[in-house]
Amino acid sequence: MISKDDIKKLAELARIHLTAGEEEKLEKDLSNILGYVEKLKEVDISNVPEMTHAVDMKNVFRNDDVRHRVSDNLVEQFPEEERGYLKVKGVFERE
Amino acid sequence: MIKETIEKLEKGEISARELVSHYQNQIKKKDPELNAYREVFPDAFEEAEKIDKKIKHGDTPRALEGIPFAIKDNILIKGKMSGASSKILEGYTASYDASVIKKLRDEGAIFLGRTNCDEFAMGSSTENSAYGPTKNPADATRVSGGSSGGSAAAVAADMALAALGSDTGGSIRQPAAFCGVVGLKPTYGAVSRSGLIAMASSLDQIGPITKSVEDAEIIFNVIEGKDELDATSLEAKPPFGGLASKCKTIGIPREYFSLAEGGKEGLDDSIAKKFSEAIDFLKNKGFEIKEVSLPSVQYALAAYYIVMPAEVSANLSRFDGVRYGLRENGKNLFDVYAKTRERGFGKEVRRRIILGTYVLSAGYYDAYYSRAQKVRYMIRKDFENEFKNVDLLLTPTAPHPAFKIGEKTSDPLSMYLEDIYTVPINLAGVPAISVPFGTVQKDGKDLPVGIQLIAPRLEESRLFEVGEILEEANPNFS
Repeated sequence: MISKDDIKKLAELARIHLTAGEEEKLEKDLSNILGYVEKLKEVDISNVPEMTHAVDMKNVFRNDDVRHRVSDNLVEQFPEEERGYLKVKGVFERE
Repeated sequence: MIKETIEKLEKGEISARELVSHYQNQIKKKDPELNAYREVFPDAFEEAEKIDKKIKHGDTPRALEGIPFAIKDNILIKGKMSGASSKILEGYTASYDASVIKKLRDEGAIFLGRTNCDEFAMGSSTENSAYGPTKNPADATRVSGGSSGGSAAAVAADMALAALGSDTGGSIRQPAAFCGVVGLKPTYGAVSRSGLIAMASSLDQIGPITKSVEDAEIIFNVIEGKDELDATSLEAKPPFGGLASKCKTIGIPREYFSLAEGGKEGLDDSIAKKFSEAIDFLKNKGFEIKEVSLPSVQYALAAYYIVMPAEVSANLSRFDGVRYGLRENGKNLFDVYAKTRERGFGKEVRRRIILGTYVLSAGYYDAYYSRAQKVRYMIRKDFENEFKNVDLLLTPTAPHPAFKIGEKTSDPLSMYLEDIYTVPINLAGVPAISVPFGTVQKDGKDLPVGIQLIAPRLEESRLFEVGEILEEANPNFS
């Protein structure tokens, strides 16, 4: 029900590099888990709404006031920085 | 425990400094074997000294004055490292307090350290922690349960007076049951999730792990309430909380336990026996026991293993090696992401992200996610229907006592099945508590058993009321 190609595609979508051995293991694990969740197909869900929230609330607003919650140690968390800026790989690559 | 401790502090029979010192000594003695703590904070004494000064000065003690807490490694404490027991967050220091931490702090709590858990709270044994499993204080060859295993073991082994954990599918209640302590999963929305490292946002709740039901109530009353930093949080004041006894009827869901057979397939015989004892005990206390039915709960675990990984795959996309935590080098940006997430995440986390990505993929949405959300609605309705007939529901917390380390690691599905009694509660959004109810013997060791009480939304007071009665059954235990 799930192929090795599916796993490769999912890993790419999820931005996770997988080794060949792991692809194989995941193929097996996911097939088992999806086999188990198959039992949901027995349930008659006609006319049942989706439960999208545990709490029935809509449009929770607050005043748009300035708050000083973020502290300066965010910059200290950067894996790489230069002159106080966050350093990242280029988004566009040169030919 | 909390009340008595504060009284002693007030009378000067003990100081906050002595309390901290007591727990730190216990940690030094026991934690090398148990591995409940990821880190012990060096500044707990400073906090204790401030509190001792206040008490000497004659200030009225606050609700948690001087009470030493252990905090699960996925709840942020400003200026402290917080890693959800994952390599991907190694070295990350929190820039703000979680709302629950702020509330505990404002009531005088002291933070002893942060506790081990399954990576990003994904697991039922703490074996998915990147830093090794937490062992069960009752038998160190067995797991502490999970994911809040470090918090439960810390309280059980007297390495903290109380702890906070988080519960997405049983992660407070199951380790509490395995370790022989009390664990409360509040109503969804009753406690703010701001500052909790998110796993599955529609299911996650923070709650206390304690030595007594009364302590759980005291802590719940401190941390509950609406918080504008969590839009899903509620004003948790129950409609008629704090009144004299009101619970009379307790329902036993036949899908979990057959009163006629005194057991159920999949439920360990020794647990079934203890559960029958709990039923008899409550009957003798004057409660009416009724068999009830939650017909859709047999699908709860299947629905959970769609809804939860879907939310996991979305929530954990933020861990990409760009802004904080681990960053692996790569030849381009994609490679940095993919390698960081390969090395930073453990196996179970990767498995759930991939599974969640699958169920949310184009073309599969209706077959999986939408269907699971509809089944979730039916499960919630089941609970609402039966709460018209009974005041509370009663189930075992877990189908077995604590299992051996390594016993279930090779088969993810068998590990998932451990949460069969706890998962439906998160799906329905209702509150539940696990109360210790004696022990069963396995391999010559006495292993704790937990009984789960379930209440309607915002009716935590019922859990405390009947939970306190239930814990009377084993006074030497709590």
